[in-house]
Formats: sequence, structure tokens, C-alpha cells
Amino acid sequence: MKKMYIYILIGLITFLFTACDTKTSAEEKRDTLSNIIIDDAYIILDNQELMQQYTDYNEQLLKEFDIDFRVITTTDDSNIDIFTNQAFTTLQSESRSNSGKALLMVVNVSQDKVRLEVSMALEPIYTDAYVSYVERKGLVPYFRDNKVADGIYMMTELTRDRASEAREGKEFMPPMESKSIGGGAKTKAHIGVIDPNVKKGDHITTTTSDTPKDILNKHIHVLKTHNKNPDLEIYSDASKVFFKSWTVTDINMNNEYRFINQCNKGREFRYSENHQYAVAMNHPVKERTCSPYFFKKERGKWTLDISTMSKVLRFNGPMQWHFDMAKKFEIMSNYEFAFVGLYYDKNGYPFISKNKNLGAKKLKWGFTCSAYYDPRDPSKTIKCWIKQLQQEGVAKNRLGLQQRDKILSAGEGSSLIDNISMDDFMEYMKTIPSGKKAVVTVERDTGEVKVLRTTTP
Amino acid sequence: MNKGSKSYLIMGMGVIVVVMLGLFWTGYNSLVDKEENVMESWSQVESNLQRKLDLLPNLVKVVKTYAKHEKELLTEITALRANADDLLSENKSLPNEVQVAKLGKMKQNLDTSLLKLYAVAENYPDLKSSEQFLQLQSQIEGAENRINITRMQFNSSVGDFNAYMRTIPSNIIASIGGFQRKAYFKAEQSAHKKLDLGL
Repeated sequence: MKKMYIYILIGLITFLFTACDTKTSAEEKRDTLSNIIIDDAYIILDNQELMQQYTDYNEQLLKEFDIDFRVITTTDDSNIDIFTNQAFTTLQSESRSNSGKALLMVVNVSQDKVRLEVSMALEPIYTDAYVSYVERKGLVPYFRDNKVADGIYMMTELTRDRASEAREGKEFMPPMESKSIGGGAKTKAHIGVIDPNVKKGDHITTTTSDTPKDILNKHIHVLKTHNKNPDLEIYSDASKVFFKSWTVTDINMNNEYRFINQCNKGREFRYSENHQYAVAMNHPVKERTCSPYFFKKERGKWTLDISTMSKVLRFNGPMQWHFDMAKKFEIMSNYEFAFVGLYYDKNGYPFISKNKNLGAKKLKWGFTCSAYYDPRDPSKTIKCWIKQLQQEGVAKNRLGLQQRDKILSAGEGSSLIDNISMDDFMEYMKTIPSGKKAVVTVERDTGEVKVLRTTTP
Repeated sequence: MNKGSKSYLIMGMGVIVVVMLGLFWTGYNSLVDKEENVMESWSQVESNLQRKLDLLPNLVKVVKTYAKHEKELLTEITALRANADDLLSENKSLPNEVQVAKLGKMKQNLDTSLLKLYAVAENYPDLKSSEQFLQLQSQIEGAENRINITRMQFNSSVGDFNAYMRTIPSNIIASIGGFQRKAYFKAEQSAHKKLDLGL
């Protein structure tokens, strides 16, 4: 009996040890795998903002295409090909993808090499030649500028672009085991090694007779020839400064060239009243596939204002443009003239009102307005913010409205309408009998609130 | 021996026969499974070797465009490729030790010639920077990497099979079933070092 108790005790202890051990290793595994980036070389995770963007993009890649993209930075001195394949197998034992679509990027800092491993399910899409090309042309330029995190983020974007193209061409393979047999490519990373030829290129001159269209054509030529010289005369002063610190890759240039060439039809140039600013716009705007280009005059010559464009324009996954609304109101006032009549949703995507008669009505009253969205306080959103005012228009001369006035309300007493839209404003004006007073409350650009009254004709 | 003892003996022998048959059954099936794994791994190695060979004519074509004077080397590569192709065609099923050694030697010679070709490319800047050449180089390197990875997987399954075959009673079952030891596909270390293009 005593012996039996001893056996039971030994069995119990063994069981507990085994159970505890299993739990610990499982927990460790989960912790490691929960990171989509394993930054063992400590070179990327300090860039918190970019990493947050990267994480969002990575999640999107998983949701949209079921692609599990992981990154490891390391200083390991073993063969990078074998290290990557083994790490891939370990990570993919608990794959986030349900169809075996996985990518693993390994940046080996001590060997100065980068490798992107491709799972078998993705080999037809991310061929070795393609991976090698994007590594050399899209990733290494960032690494050379010591922007490893930016490079990795760019790689995720390129991965998404390629997946999107492949989906349209139906190149995806049916679900399979998440396994790799060494697909992908490696390349020299050149981290922090400046390319002496990177900011060089033929000098492009401009003349005072060049129009914004000529400047845009020269820019297209620059893109086509991969001219990365930041001091070209086609750029504004601020844009030259911007390009000096900005990493430009052949792939970025190819993409922009491709997009800009698709937009040659339907391009219109709009000019500011003082003729110091111009915007190349494409119609129909609602398609959002052709982004606007900003031009400003400097020393009597038109230049491309890439600096402002880079601050206010944003692109989503399918490369549709929209505004960064917070920045738009701060720095884009010089270009507002080109966007008169456009409305924006809360994410800054432009659209045109469905009301087809709105244009005619606007002309009748001599003003146009669009919504004002206050990014710091959404409750302060104003439906009608006057964008353009005709000099001889009724709104300016009879009602006393000024450009950039925000219409807070119309009417008074029981007929008061708060935060009135342009359509409702028109309706309100129609309801005022001839000879009676119309009341409009506006907030001026200075913050002053003014009540305007006028007698209707 | 009384009747009771006799029946116990028969029953005991019956149990022993059943156990032995069971052991043979499971042992034989395990050997079949492991041999299948070896065959499957070899087919991966083979297809990647073929993939590499298939890329060579294109590489030769591109180099020819830029480096017309390197005729001798290009002819050498073309001949080696043809030999390698023949050798692969001969070994459609799992090759024996001699055949694997032959394949290893062939691969080594081919890698040495390829290395010479890459060295030659250094003298032709236009060739070296040509996107077509760079892409082919990356594809060949990709095929080489796949050969290495699948070779490791193949050797691992060969190791598993051979080790199992040496255990008791698998060694008896293997000799009855006609199973043979499998040959490892050893890497020529010197060749691999040379083919590391410093990428």
C-alpha cells in the first residue's frame, strides 16, 4: 500500500512538471508569434509612428489577401538563406494565413543582407525576379538612407500592390500548407551606405514662357528617365529641400509615371486670380484615380509644388487620392480656388454634390461653398463655408457675405436654421417674401460672429 | 503433455504469431511511408535542379548579346547543361549512391562554370547592370537556394529512413521486403561557397 502511494506521488509530480513545462513553452511561443516584427537587431521598433502604420497595413494585407507578412531583424552569423527558411518554418507552424500565403523578410544587419522568403502558395505571384527587383529598386534605396523602417513599410505597400494586381489577374493559387522551399530572393542591404549617384541626373531648365502644362511634361520626362536630381528648376524651392531628404526610388518613379500617364485625358489647369498658383485637375474628380498637381510661380517661372502636395495629399490602397484634412486647412489655402464646388467626406475624399442644379443656383447667388471640417473638433463642422464669391454677385453686394465666411445659421426666431447647408440656404432665401428681411449669421475668418440682414428684391 | 497444456501452448504460439505479424505489418508500412517521403523529397530536388538547368539557355543568350568574345565559356556551359539534362533524364526514379555522386559532380562543374561567367560579367558593365541579366541571376540564385533547402529536406528524410532501417526488427523486415539504404545528396562545400555571389 505504501509503495502504491509512492508511485502515485511520483506520477503526480511527473505530470505536474510536464504540464507546467508545456504551458511555459506554449506561452513563450505565443508571445513570440504575436509579434509580426521580431526586431532582434533593434533597428526598427523605435520608430513608433511608422510601426503603427506598418501594423495597420500588415493587418490589412492579412484581411484582404490572407497574406501573413512577418519581419525579423537579426545579427545572426549563419547563412541567411537557411536562417530565413528555418525561421519561416518555425513562424508558420502557427500561421496567421488560412491558405498558406506567407512572406518573411529577414534583415541581417551584421551581414548587411536582406532576404524575402516566399511561401509556395505565393511563388507564382512573388517570383524570384520580382522579389529581387523590388529589393534592389524599392527597398535598398531606403536602407542606404538609413531608413530601414521606411523601407520595410514600403515593401509592405509594394506587396499589397502586387497582390492587388495578381487578384485581378487571378494568379492566386488555391489554399495549401504554409510551407516554403526557399522561394524569394536576397540582396545586399547597403544599410547606411550612401549611393554616390542617387541624387544625380541631367539638369532640366525652365523658362518664363513655360506653362504649368510644360512643367508637368518635364516632370513626366524626369520620372521616365529616373532623374533623381533634387535641384531641377521644375521644382519649387521648398520642393528642392523636400527632395534632398526624401528617398526616391525607381519603383516610386515608375508607379507615378504609370499613374500620371493614365491621366493625360481630361486634365484641366486651373489658375488662381493673381495667377501665382495653378492646379492640374482631372475629371471626373469622383473617380479619385488622378491626383491633382500643384504649381506656384517663383521668380517669374512656374514650378511644381511637390512639398505642399506631399503634406496634404494621401493615397489609399487602390491609389485613390484624398486630402489629409488636418493639414489641408492649415497649408492649402493658396490652392483652394481649384477645389471650389467640391465636398469632402470625413476622411478627406472629394465628391461632387448629387444635386445637378446646384451649380446653376450658385451662379444665381454668386457664391459657392463647401463643408468645413474641423479635425480638432468634429462638432464644429460647418456645412457651408464660402469658397468663392463673385464680385458682382448678390451674396456679396446685397447680403455682405465675404470669402471664407462660415454660415452658422439663417433666419431668426421660429424660422432659425442652424448650420444650414447651401441647398437649404437657397430654399430659405426663396421663402422670404419680397421686401422682407433675410437674416444670415456668419463667422468671419477672424473668428468674429456677424449677423447680416438684407431686404430681398 | 495433457490436453490443457497443449491448448495453452497452441494459444501462446498463436498469440506470438499474431504479434509478429502485427510487428511486420506496422514495420513494413512505416518503411513504405518513409521511403515515400524520401522519393517525394527527391522529386523536389530534381525539379529544382531542372529549374536551374532550364534557366541557363536564357542566361547564355543574354551574355552572348553583351559579351560576344566569351564564346568558349558559353559553349562550355551549354555542353555541361546538356550533359546534366541527360543525367537527370536517366534518373527519373530515385538514384542510387553512384548516380547521386555523379549528379553532385555535375552540379559542381556547372557551378564552377557559372562562377566563371559571373566573373566575366564584371568586365562588361552594360551586361552587369542589365535588368535582364540581374533578373536571370536572381532566378538562378533562387533555384540554387531551393536546391539547397530541398537537398536538406531530402537528406533529413534519407537519414530518417536509413536510421529506421537499422533498428530491430525493421532491419529484418527491410531485408525481407527488399528495401535498400538510400544515398545522401551531399553538398560540395567549395562549390557553394563559390556560388555565393556576394548578393
